[in-house]
Amino acid sequence: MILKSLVYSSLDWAACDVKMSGVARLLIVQTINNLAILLIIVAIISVIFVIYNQQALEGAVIEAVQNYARMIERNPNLTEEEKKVLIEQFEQNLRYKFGLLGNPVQKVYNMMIRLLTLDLGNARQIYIGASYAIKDQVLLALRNTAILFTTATIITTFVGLFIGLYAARRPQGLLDRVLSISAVFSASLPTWWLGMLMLLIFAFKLGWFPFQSKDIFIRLSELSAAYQAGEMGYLTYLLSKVYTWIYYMFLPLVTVVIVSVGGWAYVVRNIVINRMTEDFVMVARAKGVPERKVLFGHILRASSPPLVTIIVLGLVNSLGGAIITETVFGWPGMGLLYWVALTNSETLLLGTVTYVTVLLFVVAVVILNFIYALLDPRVRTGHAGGISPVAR
Amino acid sequence: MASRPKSSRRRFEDLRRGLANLAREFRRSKTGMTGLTILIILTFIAVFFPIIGDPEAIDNWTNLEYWQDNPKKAPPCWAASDAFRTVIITRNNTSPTGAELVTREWMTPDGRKVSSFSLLFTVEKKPPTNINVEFRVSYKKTTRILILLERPDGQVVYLTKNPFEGRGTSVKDVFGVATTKFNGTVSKQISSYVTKPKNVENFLRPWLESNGYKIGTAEISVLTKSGFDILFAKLTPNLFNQIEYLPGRYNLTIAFVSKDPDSSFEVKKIVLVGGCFGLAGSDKYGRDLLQGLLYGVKWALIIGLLASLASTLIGGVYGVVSGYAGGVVDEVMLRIAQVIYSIPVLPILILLFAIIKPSIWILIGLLVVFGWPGMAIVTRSMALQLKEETYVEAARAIGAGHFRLVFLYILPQILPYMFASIALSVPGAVIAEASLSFLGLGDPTILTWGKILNEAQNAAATINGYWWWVLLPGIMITLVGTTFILIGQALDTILNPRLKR
Repeated sequence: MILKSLVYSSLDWAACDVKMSGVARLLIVQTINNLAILLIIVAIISVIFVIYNQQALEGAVIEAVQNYARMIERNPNLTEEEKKVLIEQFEQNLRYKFGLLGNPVQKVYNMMIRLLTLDLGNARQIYIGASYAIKDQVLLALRNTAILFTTATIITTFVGLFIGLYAARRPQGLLDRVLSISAVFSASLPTWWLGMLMLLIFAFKLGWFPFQSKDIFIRLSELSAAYQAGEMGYLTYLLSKVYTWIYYMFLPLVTVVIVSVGGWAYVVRNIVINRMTEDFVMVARAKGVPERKVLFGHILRASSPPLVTIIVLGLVNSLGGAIITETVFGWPGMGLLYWVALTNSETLLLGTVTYVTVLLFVVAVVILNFIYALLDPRVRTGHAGGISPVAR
Repeated sequence: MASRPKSSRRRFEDLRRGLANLAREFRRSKTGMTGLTILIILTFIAVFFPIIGDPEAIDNWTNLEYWQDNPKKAPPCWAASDAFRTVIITRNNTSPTGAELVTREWMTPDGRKVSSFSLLFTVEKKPPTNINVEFRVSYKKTTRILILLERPDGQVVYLTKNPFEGRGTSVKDVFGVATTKFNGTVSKQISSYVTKPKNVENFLRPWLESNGYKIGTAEISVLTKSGFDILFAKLTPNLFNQIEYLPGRYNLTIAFVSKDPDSSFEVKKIVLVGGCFGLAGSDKYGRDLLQGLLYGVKWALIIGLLASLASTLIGGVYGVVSGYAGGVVDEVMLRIAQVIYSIPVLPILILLFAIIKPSIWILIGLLVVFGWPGMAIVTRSMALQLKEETYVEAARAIGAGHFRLVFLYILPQILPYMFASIALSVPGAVIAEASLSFLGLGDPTILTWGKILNEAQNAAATINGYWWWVLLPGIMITLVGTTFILIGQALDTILNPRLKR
């Protein structure tokens, strides 16, 4: 995150494509770009798979052929020649049966299609939800991850903006110093480790929150069943629903927010401090615009495009850490699926989870690019010609 | 022609002076010097680990026998003042501090030889967590054994049958060696002997029932878990819900009763396993976590520095070349960098290491493969500006080639920024390795902090409250990260004065 403070203005993620005209063009280019990235990653995953499968099955074929050879070795009615032919036929059949013959490029292509359409068959067990299908399990996990992650991002964004803006108002002040320190820590501690510490303090020592959040959706459906059966009034139902959410989601949410908010607020601070020296801010101040309005109306507005860029990049960076954090808390999302797929050697499930994780963030990038386009007046009005990265 | 070497020398002189300035300002930065000091200490630990640490411990890290006498899952001693401190009694040292071994031998009237070993020790607040005994024995006729514990409250707990009344308990039941003839070493952990369901039924149950306790299925299941602790508990009515320890002098007697008058029994080693261990505690195999923490410094520095150094250098050169080249070449190079930049690294690494055998060098390589574009995008935009500077134009005018312009005129200007970037990207690499190891995808031949945390997670450390096992390795990861961030931030502030304000 802090590295980004060095590079933020030169990254201009979206701006590098802004050469010609307006919003639509930009968005189309961006979306195509991101789809290309997605395709490349799917191709990488598929290649890894095809090679892995090929190796695993190749081993199985060799073993089976050796067994077969040993079996017919004892048969006295066959000549050496016949034996050789039989073994060769056996091997060819096996290779055909296992799908080892054929063009590897074709196989990678097939695998890519299967991944893109989530047509992946069944997992060996039900790890999450109520269906064996890999597709259903992964989509359910995706939903749960999105719930946790979106909430965390929204909270982080607003809290970070607030802290960053106020720290920028008085550089070297108390808040600014605290922010610098917390930014240092948030860049150097693993999110999942903080999660373990949170569990030790709030679940083990104090007993306020549960160790595992796995049960949250079961509890919620029990609640709604009880409500439907008329066992409780609407208000009680609503309150216990809110309670259940907070009870299970509080620790993972707070952990992710704590780790990401420091770095993010520090970036906000740096960008805002840079903006503060610009002419339009001085003019606004000279005109007698109240400081609050200068801060939120003028500076924040002008800083919003690079800030959105940083949010996007921050998301990308924290997604991996957040996913491992899920395994610590047992949040029934992608992270937990990663964990069970790893421990049960469900390679296909693992590949799918990887693909969907990538998909999740590509979608996030596309959405934030839309927001970017809406925020940057140069993009909005179509006069986008002149954005040149500011290097220092 | 003659002017070229001269001008290049001047370039280097500029660079040298620039770096000297940077160093001077860095020395004035408080955060920077703090970071540098910690880094020097860390490097010292990494380099001199064979002297300040215990390399033997690391060599035997996976050799679980090496660790068997250590307390398992024990907190560090500075944090557990009431824990029993480990006492080791050997043949040469029969009365170390905290315990005393009394050996007696006599013949019974019916011609049996009794070798009795009484272990006297004082429990102040908490008892030992286990007692490991190891004897060197030799006998050629039937040999029985007696184990009993005398408590400070006068109670005597029989842990075997009485060999002087009836058949008694054979050596086989305790040590698993032949009852009639054996020559060699026998050993047993008393805790696992006591909590064996058969022994709970035969010995603990009668003892507690004689004290008026009602023993049902629930109580039996408590006894099979914490029967050893109950040996040292006050006999309160609430015994099975909350153990309160009985302080005082205990006497554990182990006696061999052999029909063979020429038999011999000797203590090889008796360990009263304590409830705390060292400065950083121990894990579930009793391994000294302090050694793991110290040893981990080396790999954290290697991973962090190698990955960040290589990716910054590659990215830096790539970016400068791209910016300098301009036009279509620049467009294509930038696009490639951006595609790689937007790949989420960790998911891909997880998938990859789940399939291939994890190796630290492959990991470092992949961190570089995915890590260089960040720097490249920055240096490219810097190069775009620098190539328009007059001194570059002047050099071009005297006929400097592309290679020369890139490496001697543009790159040296960007070098200081690359230093900052190297420092700032170390924590990312360290955390990436820790994350993979935490998922069990680390290099199996190398001990890292992430691996220790993985073992903690597998042992449900958070649920059981083994805080030292979680806290300390994470602090080390954070410390390494913080060190480099402090250095990087100091460089960053020097190079971007606007951030100070």
